[in-house]
Amino acid sequence: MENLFLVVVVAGERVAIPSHEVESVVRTDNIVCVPGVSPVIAGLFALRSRVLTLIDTQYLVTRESRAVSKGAFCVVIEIDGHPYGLIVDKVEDVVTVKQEDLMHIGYANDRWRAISRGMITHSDKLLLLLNLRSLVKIDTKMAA
Amino acid sequence: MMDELINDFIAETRDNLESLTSQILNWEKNPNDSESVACIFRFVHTVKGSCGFLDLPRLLALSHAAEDIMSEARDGNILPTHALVSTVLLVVDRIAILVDALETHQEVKDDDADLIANLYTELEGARTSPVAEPAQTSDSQSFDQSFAQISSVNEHNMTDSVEDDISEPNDEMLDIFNNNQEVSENKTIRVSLNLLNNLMSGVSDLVLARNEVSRKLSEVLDKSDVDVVFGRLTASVSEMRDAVGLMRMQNIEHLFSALPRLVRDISEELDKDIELKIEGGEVEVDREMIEALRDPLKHIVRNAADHGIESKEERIAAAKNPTGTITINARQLGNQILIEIIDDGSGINLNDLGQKVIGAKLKTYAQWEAMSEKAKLDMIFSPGISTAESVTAISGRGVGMDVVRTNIMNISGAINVENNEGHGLKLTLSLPLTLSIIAGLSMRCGNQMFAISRNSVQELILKNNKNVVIEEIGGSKVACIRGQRFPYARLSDLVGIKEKAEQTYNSRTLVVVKPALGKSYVIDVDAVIDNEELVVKPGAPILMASGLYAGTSLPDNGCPLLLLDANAVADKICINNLDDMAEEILDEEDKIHETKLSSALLFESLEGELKSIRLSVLDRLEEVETKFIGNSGGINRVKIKDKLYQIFGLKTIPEAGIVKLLRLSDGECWKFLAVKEVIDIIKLDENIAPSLHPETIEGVLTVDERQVELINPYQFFEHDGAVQMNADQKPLCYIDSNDGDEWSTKMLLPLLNAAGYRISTDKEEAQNADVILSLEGEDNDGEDKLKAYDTDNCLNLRKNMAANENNNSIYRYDRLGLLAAIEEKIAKG
Repeated sequence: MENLFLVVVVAGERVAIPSHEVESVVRTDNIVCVPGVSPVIAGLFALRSRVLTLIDTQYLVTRESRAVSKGAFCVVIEIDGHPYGLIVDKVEDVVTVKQEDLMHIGYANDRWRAISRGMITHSDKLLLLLNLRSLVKIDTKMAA
Repeated sequence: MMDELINDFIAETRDNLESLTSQILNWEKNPNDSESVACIFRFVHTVKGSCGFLDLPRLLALSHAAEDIMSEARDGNILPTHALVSTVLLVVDRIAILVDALETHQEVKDDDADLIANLYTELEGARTSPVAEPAQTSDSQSFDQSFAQISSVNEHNMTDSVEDDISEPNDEMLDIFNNNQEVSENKTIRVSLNLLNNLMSGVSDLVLARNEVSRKLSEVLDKSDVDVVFGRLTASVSEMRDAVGLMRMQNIEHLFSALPRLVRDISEELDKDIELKIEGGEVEVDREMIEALRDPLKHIVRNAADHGIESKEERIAAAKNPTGTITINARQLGNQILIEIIDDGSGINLNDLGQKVIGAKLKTYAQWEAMSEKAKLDMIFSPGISTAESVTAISGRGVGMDVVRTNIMNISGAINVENNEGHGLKLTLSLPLTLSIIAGLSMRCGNQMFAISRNSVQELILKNNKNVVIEEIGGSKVACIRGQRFPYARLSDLVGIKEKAEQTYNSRTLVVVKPALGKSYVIDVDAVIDNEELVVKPGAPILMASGLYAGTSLPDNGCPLLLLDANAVADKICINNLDDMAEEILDEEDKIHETKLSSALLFESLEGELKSIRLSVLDRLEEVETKFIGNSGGINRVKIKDKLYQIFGLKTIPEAGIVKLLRLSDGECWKFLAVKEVIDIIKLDENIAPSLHPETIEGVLTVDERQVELINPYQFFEHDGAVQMNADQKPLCYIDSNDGDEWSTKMLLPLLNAAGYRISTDKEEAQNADVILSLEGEDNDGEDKLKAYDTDNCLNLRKNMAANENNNSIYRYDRLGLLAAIEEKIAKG
């Protein structure tokens, strides 16, 4: 069995997102900031009539928030009926990966481990597989 | 095909089951209510018919038995005894279980035969008169039949039988269709929620696209012909938006339909007499809200019935009505839905609660003693605390109110307790109407825009108003507005926006907010921008976790807007920690005193005079560019959203710039009053000096030693009630003109139109017309034609000024006389 993955770059690492979970990839336009919330929220962005909550994906790894510039790549996903936009550094390609190339996580560091589900190999290169749900989880530690 | 039919059957039966229970209970209460009996009968009959058609033998047997009972009831042979009703309810439950199983393709092992046998036993017990011979045979016949059917079920796997195709249409099939026709007065169709959601977002996209086009259009200069088409587009888009919004709404009755049964079951189990009263079932809410509220509400009612209402003996001992009452009351208050659950039970004993709280080690004794009554009561929402004396089968396991509160808060609602120890408890749920449209007030803070529901905004006032003093004590700030003190905070501090230096002090605005629950407070923002109709969208959980926001919205400019949650902001300002009861009581008294005095807006007219107008007629202040203002027909008018409104107080239209207009409303239509500057809000006391022209000037006030006229708004509205009416409400005038008669179209039509009538020259409409105007003229034969109609509402117009022998005619150039005559005819009609 083969699976399709979207390969993007987050905090300098190549990561994979199952393509069936991706609605589209867009470039952000005017972003509205959201003060007083978890720094993982990069702002709000209107994609036609929907309001996407933008997730500063790299923040989860680096713990450094970064201003999102206009025109940044944004991967549109939907979780529990809420639309989100994952801000990523770069969008590379859509690749096909064989079932046997999926691996459980090895020795990723804690921050990566919290948001990934495992590794996959593609063309002899390793890719981290993102766990999308963990990206939008309410982190009680962070809120405190 | 078969699957689809089955799915329809499941959905329809479920819908009916919801209301059925209350019908059965209604029947129990009013045995003679033939409407309820007929309704229950129709249901079981329809189920029976469909089951025969779909080949579902178990459901068929059950519904058949129930139908027998109901047909006896319909004929008045039986009375709904308690035991009979209970058994019927059990049968209905079993039908519900089987229907569920049909969907999940699971097997239900319970034996229906016992249930059916019980049903017939109770039927015999419920007879009012000795049974007539033939009825009995028919009974036993169907009884045997049912058993035969049941035995056949046991060999069948239910899901298998569902997939079997039917060979030939059943007689019952015809029955179903006949029956459906009988029931469907208000025709509906079933639509999947997904489709509806798609439609919703499609319409929202359409609105945004329209706005985009509108912006692009305003850049093009010559567009008069496009404007008309665009106006039509706008109208149909907004109509569509409204319609789609309504489609998602559901009667809140759906939420309450399960409760009568719940209360009946509990009162039976605990041997209490409980009456359930439901009021306000007509409130419309978003259907998702209904789903989210179902469980919490059940829980609250269960609590009230179980350990709110005392046992009969206790109630008698306490000199109360032995029958306890639970009242549920729903109403819409602005953008909030309030649901009150009131019981007249024992209320909460704070000492007992204290012991439990201390026992559960949630608070120490000293802490408990120091807490206010409200804070103590709020402890019932802590995990592990139950107000029950003992654990019963129904409630009291300590998992309860905390879950209820969490659920309510998850849908951005709030729950409030009012305890009246010994006399009952009142819980108030205040819930937002998510996804519905609210009136919002947008404001700016730094570079950020926020919105807040306008219903919670009490007042806007400039910070540099001399009636405002910001006092600082012990590090916290208090705003004092006209002598009334409010907790005060800068919005930028609350949400953590860093502001660049002090903004120009002059422009800052204070917003006095009155949250649905709790005290008013003041937030300080850079500027208030606009009133807008906002579609509230629930925010992502990670966004809502901050507790500051009620959701997001996408206004017409396409730029997302954050909605502040008025209650949550109150929490941030820590108002709810202020527990000085004495102060609150004082405040209440102040308010009562103040509401007696009405307020007026003080403003400077364009002529530079100080004037005032009662605040109650004011909607808002609009700032309008002069290019939208024009003089036509002797009247200055402003164009707002494709409609023209009259402006008063504006003698000449300035060449360019902005005109400030006060929007006045009499509840139906808008008028605008031009002003130079809005100055202040003043309280009107009794000292209003009379004026010589009360129709335009209500009186004269003294403000800071200056005389100020209080304008009477009546004058602005008195002239044109008729012209503003909706087209279909205007009276219809039918003009019976002769072919090619120019006078009627050139002279009469404009006159009548200006006077607010609808005009038709179409013969078809003659009989619907409120007034028929018949013109004097010569018909084809050259004869005078002046009496074609002899109905009362016909008015003849003559060409000559001098009256002729026909009394019932009016000279056609007598404008006043003509209008008066038409008015008189309509008044008579």
